[in-house]
Amino acid sequence: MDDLAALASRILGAILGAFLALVFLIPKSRRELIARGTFSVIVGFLAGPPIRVYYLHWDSDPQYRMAAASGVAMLSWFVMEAAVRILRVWMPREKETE
Amino acid sequence: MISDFDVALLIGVAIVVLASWRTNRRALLWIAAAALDFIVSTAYWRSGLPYGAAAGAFCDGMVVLAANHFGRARWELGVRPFFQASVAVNISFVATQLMGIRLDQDILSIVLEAINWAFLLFLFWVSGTPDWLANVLGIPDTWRPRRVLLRARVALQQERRSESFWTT
Repeated sequence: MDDLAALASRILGAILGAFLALVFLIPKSRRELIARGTFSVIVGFLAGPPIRVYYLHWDSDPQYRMAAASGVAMLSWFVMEAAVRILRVWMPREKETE
Repeated sequence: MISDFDVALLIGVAIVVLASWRTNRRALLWIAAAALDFIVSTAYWRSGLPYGAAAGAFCDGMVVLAANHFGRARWELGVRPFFQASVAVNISFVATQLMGIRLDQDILSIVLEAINWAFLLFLFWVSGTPDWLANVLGIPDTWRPRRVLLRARVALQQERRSESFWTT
């Protein structure tokens, strides 16, 4: 039962983090939303627990699990946005076909 | 139940509604959205349930997405930064709570109240009433601050350039 609560809090936290990031960095298309949302939720779900334990030193209460997953998901969205912007500067645009 | 601050805010809302009634009817839509957001988040907060700031952030976030989706003119997209600021303040408060930092709840209330007033001031400016008042008072439109504000307001009345992400 505890495992289920931990899993649910991680998933919910990751989704809420992606939602909060969406509020600040609004994508241009639905496709972009799906790509970034999926990436953020996965990163929040997977990287939330190790960051909570090793860096934040928080307890394993569901609220802390959720907050860690949420923070990581939000941060990953911002990092992805920054990476995309840097890549757009460095990579040449595709030539438009006539 | 209703504090003095709430009464002052209601008076401010009434003034903006009157100012926007004839010139900018769509402002009423965003005032209604903000009012719904305020009522839901305040009701949650006063009910004593945990993490009221998180619920407030969620409500504000929904208004940002609504403005992004339903906004037609550029000024309607200008509604977003006020609610984004509100989300930022609320999640910062939640973060301090989780980190064990004791922050007075009054600080949060004051900052959120300031954002609400800034939002009302923005809608009041968009309604064009300050221009009308300036004309009544005989302030010439060649006066630089007035000219800058007037041009900015005219630019904000135009249609938005990009579609909502949900439709593209």
